[in-house]
Amino acid sequence: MSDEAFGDQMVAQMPYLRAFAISLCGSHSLADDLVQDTLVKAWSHADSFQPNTNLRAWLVTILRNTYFSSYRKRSREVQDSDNLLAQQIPVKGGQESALTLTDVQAALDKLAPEHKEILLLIGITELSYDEAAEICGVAIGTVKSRLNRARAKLAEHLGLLTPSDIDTDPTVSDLAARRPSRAV
Amino acid sequence: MSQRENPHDNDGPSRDAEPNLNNKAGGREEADADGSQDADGCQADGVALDPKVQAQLGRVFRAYCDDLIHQPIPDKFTVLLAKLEAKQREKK
Repeated sequence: MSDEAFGDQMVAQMPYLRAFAISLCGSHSLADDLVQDTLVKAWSHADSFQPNTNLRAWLVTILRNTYFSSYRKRSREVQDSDNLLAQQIPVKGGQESALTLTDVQAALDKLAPEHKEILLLIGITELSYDEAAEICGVAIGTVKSRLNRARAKLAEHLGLLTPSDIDTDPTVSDLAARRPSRAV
Repeated sequence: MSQRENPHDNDGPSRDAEPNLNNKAGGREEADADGSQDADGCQADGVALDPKVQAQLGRVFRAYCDDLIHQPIPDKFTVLLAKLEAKQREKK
């Protein structure tokens, strides 16, 4: 692949890379440092990219490994220091919810790192289960079971579970009391 | 050929039904996607969500992902990428 084609394809992947970084770091400034490091590494290892494979998966792998080796500790220190998201999202048909995208970020940050990571790999970077499995170094069955657990935990942290769900799961039996206020 | 196009990938149906943890059809389809995972035992841990909760979660999480993906890319990255590309050319 020519340098020009490689460069153009990198530009096309920027929205996904940056979104993944912001969500991982919980901070715009840290995320931008992480993306910058990723781009520099990607160019310096451009020769190791195999043409006709998924460039996004390759870039996400570099970003993810850089995050866990150099950024994760820092991200815990600076989280929420800048306003990432503020928009309110309607959760039930047409009804305004008190949930904001910041609530979603906070709920994601409460997840185990391997659960948060898998949700972001599938949801934000839109990679396949196969690609996510390769990036995380686990079997595809593990990807699926992590996704299921991650979803259940995220729903719990967001207060989306109904009392009947809670009855079936003793670990969240007090969730109703902790539900976020629905006041508009 | 990318893994995505692998004809032997037996995960295709659940990927199609559930690309972004979202359930655009509103409930049933997501339950089917989870059902398909039953076949390979991945729901055995008993954390399957109610389809309504799954649909709500899908909408909330999709809104979050879309917001992030559509944030404008700062100019500094365009500049950086151009510099990196120029540097690569010099090396050759």
